[in-house]
Amino acid sequence: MRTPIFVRIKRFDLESVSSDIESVRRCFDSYLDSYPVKSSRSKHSLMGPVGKILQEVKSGKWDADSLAGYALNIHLTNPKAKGFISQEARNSLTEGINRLLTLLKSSPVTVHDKILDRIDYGLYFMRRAKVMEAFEKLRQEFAVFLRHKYGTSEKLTEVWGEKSADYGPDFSRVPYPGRTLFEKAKGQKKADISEFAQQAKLKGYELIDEEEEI
Amino acid sequence: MGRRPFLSDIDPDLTRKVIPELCAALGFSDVGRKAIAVIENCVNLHMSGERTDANVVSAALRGTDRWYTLANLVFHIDNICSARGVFEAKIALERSLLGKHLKTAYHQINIRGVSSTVLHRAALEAFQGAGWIPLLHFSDATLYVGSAAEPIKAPFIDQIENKLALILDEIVSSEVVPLVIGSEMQDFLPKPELFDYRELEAYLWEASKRANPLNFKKKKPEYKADVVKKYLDLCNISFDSFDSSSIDLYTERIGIARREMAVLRFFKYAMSSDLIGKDGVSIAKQEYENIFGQGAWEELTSMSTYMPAPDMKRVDRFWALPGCQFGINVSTIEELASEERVKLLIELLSQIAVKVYSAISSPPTRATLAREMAAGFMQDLISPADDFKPLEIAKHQMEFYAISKPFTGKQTRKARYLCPICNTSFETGIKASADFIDKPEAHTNRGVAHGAFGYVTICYTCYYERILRQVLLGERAKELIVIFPRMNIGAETGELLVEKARSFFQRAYALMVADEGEPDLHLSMALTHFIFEQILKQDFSHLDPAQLAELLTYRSSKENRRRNLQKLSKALQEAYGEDLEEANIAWGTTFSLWDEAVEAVYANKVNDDEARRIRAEVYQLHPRMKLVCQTPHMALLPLSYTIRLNEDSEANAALRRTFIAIFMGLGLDASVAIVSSSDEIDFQGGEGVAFVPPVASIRQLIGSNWVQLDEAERWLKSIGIASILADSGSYSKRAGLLEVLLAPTPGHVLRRIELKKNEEKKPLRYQDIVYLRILAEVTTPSM
Repeated sequence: MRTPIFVRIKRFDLESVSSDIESVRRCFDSYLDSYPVKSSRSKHSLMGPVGKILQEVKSGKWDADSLAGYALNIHLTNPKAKGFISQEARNSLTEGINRLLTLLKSSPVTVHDKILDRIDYGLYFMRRAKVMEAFEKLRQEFAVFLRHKYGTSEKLTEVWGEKSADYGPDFSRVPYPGRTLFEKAKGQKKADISEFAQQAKLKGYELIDEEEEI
Repeated sequence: MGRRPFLSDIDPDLTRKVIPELCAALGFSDVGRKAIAVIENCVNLHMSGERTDANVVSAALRGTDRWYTLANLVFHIDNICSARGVFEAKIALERSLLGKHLKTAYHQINIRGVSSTVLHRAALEAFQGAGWIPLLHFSDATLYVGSAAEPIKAPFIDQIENKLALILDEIVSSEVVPLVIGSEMQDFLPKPELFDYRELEAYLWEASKRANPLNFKKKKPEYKADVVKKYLDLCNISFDSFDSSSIDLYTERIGIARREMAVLRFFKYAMSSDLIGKDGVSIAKQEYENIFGQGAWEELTSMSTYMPAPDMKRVDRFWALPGCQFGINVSTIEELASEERVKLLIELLSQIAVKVYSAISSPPTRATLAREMAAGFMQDLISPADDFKPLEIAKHQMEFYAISKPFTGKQTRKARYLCPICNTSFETGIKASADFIDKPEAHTNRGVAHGAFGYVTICYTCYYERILRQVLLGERAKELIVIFPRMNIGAETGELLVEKARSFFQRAYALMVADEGEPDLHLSMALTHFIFEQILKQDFSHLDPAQLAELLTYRSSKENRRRNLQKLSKALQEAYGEDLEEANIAWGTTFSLWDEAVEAVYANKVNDDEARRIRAEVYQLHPRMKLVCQTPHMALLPLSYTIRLNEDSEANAALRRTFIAIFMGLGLDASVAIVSSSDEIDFQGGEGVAFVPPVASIRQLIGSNWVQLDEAERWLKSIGIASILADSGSYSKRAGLLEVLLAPTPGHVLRRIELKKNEEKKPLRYQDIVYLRILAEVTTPSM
């Protein structure tokens, strides 16, 4: 009689590494906080060197140091970075790469794609949400600025000369004061956006237009 | 393994804090310190596990009298109220201190559907009539108590059956005329049980309205020519000599006779021997031939489904009658206007029927139906029962189970069946039709795999259950929303649940018929994305039942609103021959422009039935839901539509149903299940907040057949947010909800939304990120 062979296959539970995935994401997110993005609309731009890291790490040929060097090179060639990276960002990047390689080493090869996919899209959501929240914060500040200046949205539509516009009873529908809006605006509307942009600059941030980057 | 150690649910500090507050909230302002100490002892020591020596001595030292007995009472009442079923509650009560002073009794039923609510009511009233007081209601039973000193007994089964028959008679006496008339192309009298001889004239009018005289005119010329040729053949007239104008004349004639054909056909069914017996048939034949001539009865009874040529031949007999025979100044009836002819025919047939019904001993009425239904539904009464022999029942079922397979899908005299809906074994049932169950001809593995397969046979009790649903709803119910108390419920709380269900339904009804509101506001349970958007705008947990119903509404789009208003204007002008003056006279108004009149009708400010009928027809203001709630045991909402959007897959539809079930379960504080009208209700409430429909992928996703209370809010948010995002991300209309819920991270959904926005050249909205954040919170903890 032939000896029967029993094979016991245990399915890998992706949820068991969810906290590791989260920690890798957090490191990269912390690094990207100081990375100057070219455009917040494209995933490629938003993810910066991390996108490249996630792409290269699949090959399994990189060690932590060489991968960190590769990422740093991409960072420094970004003209907006002006050849600079803070110590804190560098630490986060290195930490993220180390954790990522450890995670991949401890998981079966068959789930590497899924893990990288989760890190990639999860991180992308975090970054995109941060950008959108920053836009929203600015938009709300612009609404506060206009409310202080005009009191009611009826007064605003009258001053801006836009009879059909509806900015909501509490200025809740005021648009984001981006470059496109500024370029299309005329008269007092243009002056108001300009004045708000000046104030924003004094506070340390500038207005970016989300729509022009489509 | 084994028993777990005692786990206390008592927190003495919390007891000390809460009792004074509770006393104040209940208005017990003069409760002294001593009484508070007694109450604290009752609470702190009501579990046997808490009654350690130290705790008891400590309580005794606090120096208050009677606390031990009171603590025991709290202990027993707690046990009775926590019982999982009527037997557990009954035993707990009988073993308690109260057992010596109280007698107990109970009624228990097998839950079937709307009939169960009626059976519960009959049993409840019978027990109350016998002097019992309902203590606890379970979905399938009620525990009653009475004073041990009083000589009260459980009511007799006959008493319950009589009460049931009375209630059912009241229900089936309502307006059912549209339900009696079926399809002329299939079965014109699908439910003969609903036939009542006193309503024959109304049936004949309804039958005449079902036939559209324009239908024949719209047919292809070849078909019409063929019909005319067949008709002429029957009349022994040669077709060859006819030119096209003569054919048109005959076509016109056959077209306008359409309503009379339908009236005659229904009369044939009404005069069948099944309804009036052989004696009745012979009287009907004689009376019919007295008017329409020799051989007319044979022609009438040989009528089958709609066949224009032979049917015209039968109408010819009527049209050829001389006007003077009925005191009308025309040479033949054919010369009369269409409406007058139909009226005369219905009058003549009604007169014949009156003679027949007065001559026979028991003309068909629905009173018989109520009795038969009561007898059928009494089979669901498990207790009290006269002669309950479980062994014999089991034997009988085994026997039928063994031999029923070859008879499934066939109707024969020697057949033995198992009902495909309720599994009851029976010998005489009814051939199922699509009028009351889904796909009755679909093969089932309860039948043999080879040979011919017709329609399944169902038991009479299931058939009556379906009839009752139709009578209550006015049309066939597609789905049932079943609302059970989440666990056993006392009389007062039961009334509260009933009140909540009624309040929800009354508001929903008002919205459906739009008597006061705008008719462009509609109620839909399938538009989960609209519903969830509204839920997000308010504090869902603080809404009353009427406000819950309002969350299910949506307003027609601007384009549809404009189109509907145009339709209303057109319909009103057509109805009054474009004469505003005529409309003003009929309505008692003084509108100078049609626009003003239309606006007033739109706002339901014109107090005229016809105007309101037109408004209801244009805006489809018909109630598509009915509340069946007789007792606190359960409430049912039969729906005449299914909760799904057009292209929804089974999985998507199951998610929408789960969403609505959770929505109602949390809103009404009950257990809610949404099931197909063809399905059996095989649960009793208490299993969870919302029933998950039997779709494998959805049950796997949710991980259970019922959504539990602690998970309910999460799933409500998950499905609601998935409905919104599936729309934003252009996910497939078939399974978009499931696709969103299975996305590994919100980033995947975000990319999808962005791709769509890029195509439309629109920027991502901040609101999309807000929705995605909710999705991240509720679906993927690791994101």
